[in-house]
Amino acid sequence: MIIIYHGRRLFWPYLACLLHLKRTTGAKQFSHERVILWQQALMTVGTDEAGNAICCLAHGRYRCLYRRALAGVAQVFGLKVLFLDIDYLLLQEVKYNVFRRFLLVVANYIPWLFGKFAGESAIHLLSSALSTQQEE
Amino acid sequence: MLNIIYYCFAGAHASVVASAIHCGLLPRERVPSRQEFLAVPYYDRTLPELVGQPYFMGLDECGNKVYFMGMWSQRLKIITALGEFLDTAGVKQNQYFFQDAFPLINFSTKLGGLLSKRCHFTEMGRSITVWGIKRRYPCFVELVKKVKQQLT
Repeated sequence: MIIIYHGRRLFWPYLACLLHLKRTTGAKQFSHERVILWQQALMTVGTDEAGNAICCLAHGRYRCLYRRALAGVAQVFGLKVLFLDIDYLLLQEVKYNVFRRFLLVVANYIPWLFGKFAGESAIHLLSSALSTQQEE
Repeated sequence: MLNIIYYCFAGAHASVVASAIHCGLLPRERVPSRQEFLAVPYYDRTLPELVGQPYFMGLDECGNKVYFMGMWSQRLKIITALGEFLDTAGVKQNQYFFQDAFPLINFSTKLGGLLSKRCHFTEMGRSITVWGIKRRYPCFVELVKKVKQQLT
C-alpha cells in the first residue's frame, strides 16, 4: 500500500512521514534547504516496517485535484493508496487555540525558523494529531 | 497492454477529442461534423468539480486502454507526481503513456469552453468549441499518429 501524507505546504506532511518512519532525528534536522530542494509535489520518503511506501504531497490550493488524479490513476492500475490530510488533522488538534493555529501557519511558510525554535513542539503536536486519527 | 492517458486543462475538449481519435470513435481521414463531435462521450460534458479524475474512453486496435483527464494549470506538476507515484508503486514506464493535448487548443476553443463551463451558455459555448476543434483537427490526428508511432 502507498500512504500519502498531504497538505498545502511541505513542512507538515514531510514531518508526518518522518514520524511514521520513526526518523525523529531527521525531523529535528528539518531545514529550509530540504524544502527548496523539492520542486515536485509528490516525494517518496521511505518504506515502513510493514512494507508500505510513505510519500508526502504538497498540493497548494489544489487539494481535491491532486487527490482525484492520484486516486484515479491508482484505480486504473489497481493500486491501494491511503490519503491522510495533515492540515485537517492538525486543525482538529489545535481547534480554537489561536496561538497554535498561528504556529501552524508560521511552520508552513517559515519552516526553517519554526524548525529551529519549535521543532520539538511541532513533533509533539503532530504526534498527538496522528495518534488521535489512529484512535478514530 | 498499455494505459494511455491524454490530458489537457479541463478534460472536456482537447483530451476527449484526442482519445476519441485514438480509439477510432472519430475519423482520421476527414474532419467530423458537429453532430459527430457532440456524439463523442463526455465531449464538453465532464463536470468541472471532477477535473483530475481519469475517464475511460475505450480500447484501441492493439487492445490498449485509452483514458483522458483534466489537470487545470497543474499539468507539469501532476504528471511529475503521477510518474513518481507509479514509480513508487513499482509500475514500469512501459505500462503507461501520458500525452498532453492542451497545446493543440486554440483561442476559440478556450473561449467556447469558458462560455460553456463557467458562464453556463452551454449551446453557444459548445458550438464555438466545435468550430475551434474543427480548425485544428488535422493537428489532433497528427498527434495521435505520433503517439501510435511512439508506442510501436
